[in-house]
Amino acid sequence: MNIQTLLTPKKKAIVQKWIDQVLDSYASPEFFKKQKDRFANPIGFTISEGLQNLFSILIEERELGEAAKPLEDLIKLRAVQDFSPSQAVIFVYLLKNIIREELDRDLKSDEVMKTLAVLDSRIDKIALMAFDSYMDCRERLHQIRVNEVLSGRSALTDGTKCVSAMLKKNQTESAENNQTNRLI
Amino acid sequence: MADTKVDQMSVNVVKEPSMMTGAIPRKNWMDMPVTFKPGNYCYPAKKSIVEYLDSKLPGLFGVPREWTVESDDWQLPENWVEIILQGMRERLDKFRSFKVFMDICVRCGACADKCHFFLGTGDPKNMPVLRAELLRSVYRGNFTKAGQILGSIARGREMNFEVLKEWFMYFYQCTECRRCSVFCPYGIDTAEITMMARELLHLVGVGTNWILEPASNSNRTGNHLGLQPHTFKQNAEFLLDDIEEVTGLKLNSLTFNRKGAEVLFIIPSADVFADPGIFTFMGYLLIFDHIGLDYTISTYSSEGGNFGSFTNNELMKKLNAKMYAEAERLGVKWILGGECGHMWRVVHQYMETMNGPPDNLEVPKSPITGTVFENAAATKMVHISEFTADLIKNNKLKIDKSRNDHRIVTFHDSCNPSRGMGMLDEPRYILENVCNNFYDMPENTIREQTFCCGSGTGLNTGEIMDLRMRGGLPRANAVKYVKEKHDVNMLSCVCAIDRATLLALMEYWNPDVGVCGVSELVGNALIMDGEIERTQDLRFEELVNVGGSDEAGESGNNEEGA
Repeated sequence: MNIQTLLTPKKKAIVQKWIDQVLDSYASPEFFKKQKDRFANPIGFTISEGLQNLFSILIEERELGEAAKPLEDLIKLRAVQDFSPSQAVIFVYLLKNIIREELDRDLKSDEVMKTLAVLDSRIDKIALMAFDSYMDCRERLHQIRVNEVLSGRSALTDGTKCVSAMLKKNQTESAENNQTNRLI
Repeated sequence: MADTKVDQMSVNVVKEPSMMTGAIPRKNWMDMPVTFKPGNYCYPAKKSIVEYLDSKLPGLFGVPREWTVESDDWQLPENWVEIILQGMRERLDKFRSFKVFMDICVRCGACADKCHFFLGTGDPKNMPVLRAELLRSVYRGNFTKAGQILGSIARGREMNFEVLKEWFMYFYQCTECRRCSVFCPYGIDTAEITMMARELLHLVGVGTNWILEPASNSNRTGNHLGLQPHTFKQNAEFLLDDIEEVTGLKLNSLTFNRKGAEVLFIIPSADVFADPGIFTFMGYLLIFDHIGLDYTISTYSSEGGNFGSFTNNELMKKLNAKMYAEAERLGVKWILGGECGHMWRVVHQYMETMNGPPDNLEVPKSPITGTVFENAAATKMVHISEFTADLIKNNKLKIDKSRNDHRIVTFHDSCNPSRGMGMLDEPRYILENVCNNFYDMPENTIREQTFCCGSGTGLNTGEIMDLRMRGGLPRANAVKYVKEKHDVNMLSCVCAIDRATLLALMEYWNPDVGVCGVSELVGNALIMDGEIERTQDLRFEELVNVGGSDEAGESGNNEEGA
């Protein structure tokens, strides 16, 4: 028995439960579950689409590298939404419980358990990718803060990198150089 | 007076706790405490800044002091509750709109899911109706009979420190973008509720440095950064060298503080010192040189932005007044304004009543096309996009669209020019005429329904970067769509805060999309008399289609369905 044969009949129920549980991590999840317009509800849409894609990649036994893109879309959201790192990535692990709840009676079969072990290992790999993705997002965010300072966009108040400040610095430096040259 | 909708909402909020986060509140929203931690609040204003502002407008900015947001002691004056309530009483008398907005909301919830901060956080207090309720409950508890007698049964509240913390948290998670107001059947301007709340916060000395320092700089030297006249001039002239490198032309039409010019041009000061605003500035200068406009720039009114409007109406009025004062001093006929955001809300909605009528100015008339801008008859101030669109419409610009062929452009309606002054078509008309590749974002994310950049009203500060990314999610999400569908690589806009903050937003959500002002694209496309063959755009990036013609190409201006 392969993963796909085992889980395809339950796919709709499992994915729906997965989406609902992830959306429940927000303070007012009802709207995110109801609104179907992707532009009026970016969180609901991104999470629903992302989890559906991830689930397909997992059970169709596709190359796990394909999970990077949907994972990134999901983690990008969670990485800036006031979740702790574990809360941001735990959604991957939720899937294990959900699948077991949905399979319930089949769990006594050794064959099913063996298949699930293979799937668990794939889920664990996705979880590791999620950690990497989370760190990428946080690092990107800090890089953006640095870029903002360096580009002068933050010069609104601190003024350290505005064109005129740099100009002044250049002038001071060149004056100092001239003086040094004269001394030499 | 039962507020059933609010009750329902607070019940919805506490449903279905999750094993994942414990983030779901188990209490009524009114009882959920606010927790400040690094990243979710703006730094408080420096003592020296508040001292300066207090010396100019006494009593409006509270007692100057050092304080920290995470502390439980904000060093408030002993009678701070009385100051807030007295401030509220005065404003209810002074501003009829405030009183009306406090009374007429029926909690229909039409606004609830329209706020970009709610859509990016899921936090119920970011529903505009509940955000307003933070203030309205205090109003009800203190200024209505039902609230005074029945208290919380009539959904009234006493003013206390927890409420004050809520105000500071959530009225600084509102960018006064007014998207929610578009959907309000009663026309409640929720932005003005936030304005009132911020006025009250400032009365007890609760303000942010990112807002008050630029505001005090503007009062002192005329712009956010505090650039003095010679530095401002030097910065602007520095950009003439860049223009010369790209076009081979040394423009000599840029002047400062020149009396007798026909037009005073006022820009957001970021356009002379910050990337990518400087490219927009080059665009302005090329347009003016191209048509031979008789204009000047004031080094005293060197800022269109008005951070005073994020504090109180007195400082907003004071900073705004310098525009008319400079126009009068220089003896110009009318004022042209650059690509700025909240400047236009202040100009369009408040300037004429605050500081007008400007009897010394004339109703703006384009000296090139003869068009009279009747829409600006009251303020005497025209938006650069209106002005440029009129030039194009009258065939006054020689344009080579192909010079923007390396750009696949979409347009972000900046909240203030779109919802604040109703300018929706002019920038699009310009883009269609200077670019071959222009694609609008889906209709429920543009024009009147545009999503905010998430960093307006002084929230464009680095310490709340996470919050800015959350608030900007709906906008970034729509950009992602056109990026994937049409390979869009440039997000254009007509606002300086947008130019700065959308860049950060794109770097996070859509890393391959750049940000530019509309006038930058015009500058690229303009065929200037005597110019060298252009091989680079204003950013010194190589053009892909050198030597194109000025014939209008087919533009791909499609509006996406939702």
